[in-house]
Amino acid sequence: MSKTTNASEEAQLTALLTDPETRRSAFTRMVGIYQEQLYWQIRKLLISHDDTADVLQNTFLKAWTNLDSFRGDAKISTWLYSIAHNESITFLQKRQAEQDMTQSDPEGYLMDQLQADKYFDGDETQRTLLMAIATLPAKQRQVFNMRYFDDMPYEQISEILNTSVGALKASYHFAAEKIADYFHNREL
Amino acid sequence: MKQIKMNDWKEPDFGTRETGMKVPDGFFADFQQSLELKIDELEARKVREEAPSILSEQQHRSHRLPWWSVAASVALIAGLFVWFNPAKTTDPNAPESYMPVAEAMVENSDLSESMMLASLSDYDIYEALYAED
Repeated sequence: MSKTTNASEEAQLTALLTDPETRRSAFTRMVGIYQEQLYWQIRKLLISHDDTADVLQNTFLKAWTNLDSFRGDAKISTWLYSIAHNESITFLQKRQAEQDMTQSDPEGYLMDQLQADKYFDGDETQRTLLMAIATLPAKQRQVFNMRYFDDMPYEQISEILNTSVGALKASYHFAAEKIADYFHNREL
Repeated sequence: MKQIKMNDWKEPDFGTRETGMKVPDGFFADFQQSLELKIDELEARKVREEAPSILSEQQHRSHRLPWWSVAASVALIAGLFVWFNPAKTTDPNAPESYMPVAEAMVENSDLSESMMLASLSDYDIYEALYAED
C-alpha cells in the first residue's frame, strides 16, 4: 500500500470518509497510509515507544469518533497531525502532573524515558541530540522535530499547530540555539 | 528581546538527521488489527447505549392511550353513573341520601306488601295459598 497520497487520491479518500456507507473501509485505508508518519511524529515528542503506541491509538480513535466533523476543508494529514499533536500534549501534561506529585525534577521525565527505552539503538550524537530536544518546551520541541527531522514546510506546520509562519520561524531558531548551547556545554 | 536576522541564519546541523529510535517488528500490522478491534468495541458500546433509550421510547409510546379514548371513557362512565344513580330524584329539596322506594315502602305497608308479593313467583303464591288451606 502506498504511504503517500496525491491530490486526487486525497480527494477520493476524503469523499469515501464522509460517506457513511464507505467510511469504515476508507478509515482502515487511511490508518494504513498515515499510521507510520503519525507514529514518528508522536515518538519524537514522547521518546518512549509504549507511550507512543497509546497516544497513536487515542489519536485514531479520536479521529474515528470525530469523523462527522471532518468535511475535507483541511488535508487529511493536517487534520490527523493536529489531533496527534493535541493528544501528545495532553499526555505530557498528565505525565508532568504525576511527576510534580512525586519528583522535584518533572522535566526529567523524557530524559528517563530515553535512558530506559529499549527501542533506542542510536549513537552518542543521536542520544545527545534527543536529550537536548527534551529540554525544550513542548511546542518548541514539536516545531523543531517537524522542521529538522521531517523537513516539513512552515506553511503545513502553521496549519497543524495553528501558529503563524513568522512565529514558527522564530520558534525554530530559538530551539536550534538552545540545542547548540546544550552541545557546547557538554563539550566543556 | 533578541533580534533574529533570518537571512543571515543557516539551517542547523547537529551531525545527524536520524533519531536512532526503532520500532518493534510487526508493530504496524498488529497496531492496525488492534485498532480495528477497538473501533468494533466502540461501535458496539455506542449501539448498546442507544438501544435502551430507543426501546424505552417505544414502550412509552405503546402504553400511552390517545386523548380521545380517555375522554370517551370518562364520558361513558359519567353517563352510566348518572343513568343508574339510585339516589337520583326529581325533588329539588330531597336530601343527598334520599331513597324514594325505601321511604314509600315504610310509609305505605300495603305498597310494601304488594311489592313483596310482586317479588314472589306464581309457584310461591300458590304454594302459600294451598298451605293455608
